[in-house]
This record gives sequence, C-alpha cells and structure tokens, in this order.
Amino acid sequence: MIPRDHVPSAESEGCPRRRVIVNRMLVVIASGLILLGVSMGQTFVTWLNATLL
Amino acid sequence: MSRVIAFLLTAKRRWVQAVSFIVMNSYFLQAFSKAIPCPGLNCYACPGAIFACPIGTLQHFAVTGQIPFYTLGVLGLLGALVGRLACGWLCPFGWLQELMYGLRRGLHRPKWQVSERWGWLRYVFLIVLVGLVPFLTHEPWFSKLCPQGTLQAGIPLVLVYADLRAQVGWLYVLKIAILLGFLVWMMSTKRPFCRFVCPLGAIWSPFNRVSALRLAVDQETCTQCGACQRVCPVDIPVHEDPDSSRCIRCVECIRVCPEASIRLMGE
Repeated sequence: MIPRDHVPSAESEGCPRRRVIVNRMLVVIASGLILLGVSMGQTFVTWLNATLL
Repeated sequence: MSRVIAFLLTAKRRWVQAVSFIVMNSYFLQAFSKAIPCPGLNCYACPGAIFACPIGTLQHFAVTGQIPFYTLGVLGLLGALVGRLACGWLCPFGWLQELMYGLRRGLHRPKWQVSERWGWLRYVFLIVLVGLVPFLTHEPWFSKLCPQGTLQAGIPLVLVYADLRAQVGWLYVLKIAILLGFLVWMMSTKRPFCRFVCPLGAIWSPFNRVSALRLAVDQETCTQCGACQRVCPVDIPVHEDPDSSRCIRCVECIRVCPEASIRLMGE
C-alpha cells in the first residue's frame, strides 16, 4: 500500500510547473501588448474615427 | 465540491448565453464599449452591437498593414486566463449552434460525425481569410462571408434599408447560402463552426493547454464510460484529452461524470 503522501500526482511532476510558468509569461506578454496598443491609440474606436477623417 | 459547482454552473449556462447575446447587442452602451473586443463572435455591423468583433478588427488591421497589439493583447489575456471559456459561455454563435443541434431529434435529422482531423481548417481560415487575404486585397473577406455577420447584420440591414436592398448581388446570395448551409449542418453536427471554421476559436485553442483555468481527469477513478463525450458540446473524449484545444469549458462533463473524476482547476 502506497503511503498517501507518496502517491505520484501531476502536481509532483515537472510539467505543471512549466505550464504555470508559460501561463504567467503569456499573461505578462498579453498585458504588455494591451498597454502598447492603447498607447499607440489602437482601441478600435480611435482607429475607426481616424479612418473616417 | 467541484461537481456541485459544475451542476450549478451548467444549469445556468444557457441563461448566461442568452443574457450575453442581449448584452452584446444592447445598443445604448456603444459610446464607450465599441473600444472593447467582443469575447465572442458577434458582428460589429449589427445595429445593436456594443463591442467590436475581434475578427473584424484583426482584418481591418491586416488591411492597413498594422499589427493589432491591443486586440491581440486582449484576446491573449483572455486565453491565458480561461482558454476557450468565452466560446462556451458568451459567444452568441456558439449558443445558436447548441440550440440548432437541440432541434435535431425533433426534426429527425441524422447525426453526422465529422472527423476531428479536419480541425486544422480553422487555423487555415484564421491565417488565410482573416490575415493574408485582407492584407493582399484590402477587403475584410472573412467578414463578407461570415454567417454570423449575415445573420446579425446582413439580413436585418437589407430588410430595413431600401438602398442596401438595391445593392444585393451575387455576394449577398453567397452569404445567404453559406448561412443556410451552416444552419443545416448545425442540426446534424455538434458546433461545426466552432470546431472547423471559427478563427476566434483558432486563436484561443492553443491557450487551452496552458490556461490558468483547466480541466483535469483522475485516471484512477475514471471508468472510461464515455458519458463526458456524449454530453460534450464539441464531442471531446474528455477522459482522454481534458485540455483539448476544442474544449469550450462548459463543464457539462463534470456535471455528468458518474465517478466525479473530472475536476475544474485554477492556477
């Protein structure tokens, strides 16, 4: 019988940790893209107004 | 606890989808909300639409040769947090597909299972019809053919405005044919547009593997009964592939699993 605290689980493997790191990186990158886009005036309404002028 | 939460959530999911459709087309908030990419396929040209269709937006930037940092950032943030959850809870076209499939038994439509090998087509639609063709032709060709656009804007606007009716030609006939084709297909296949065509789903699909919100299956308790796949709106064998790129996070599988083997996890 395997002791409960030694039962292998996904959490004890490396893959979930890598997934968390990738997820955090994506959140940071996406947030950066939003800030970059807003600073460039890329919200759709702004762009649409610009093309109509 | 996860199963109780899933039951409560799925009981309300159709209502959430209905409310989402109403909110997305509630007109009066347009003044400040059109700057927000819509979390679903809802046509910008719909007279009541309050958000900007992200696919339409991407095409506009492809036409002008610019990189849509803001739109990609919003879509990326949503994908990184919840994967394709917006497809399962907010997208009006996804809701329509589920409603149409629900008519299948009443209308005695045969079930038509399409191999998932064709799932890569949605990436072709994204790259070619949303990116390459608008960039080369300076015309938003996906929007011209989009069945949701036809349903929400093409048909109502032509019915209301006489000058638009005068311009109806072969393209409009083609749009109607595409819409009708999908409406019929929806009655035989689960969410065909989501699985094989939707470019918005194609953008979010890769995020399912790494999103903060995800599904997990306890293989030790799973009996592989297939109940999860039978109830899945996109026909995933959840017990084999809980983080499938097709998964729309509807959590119906959690509700029906007899062994409570499927869990919703957040990181």
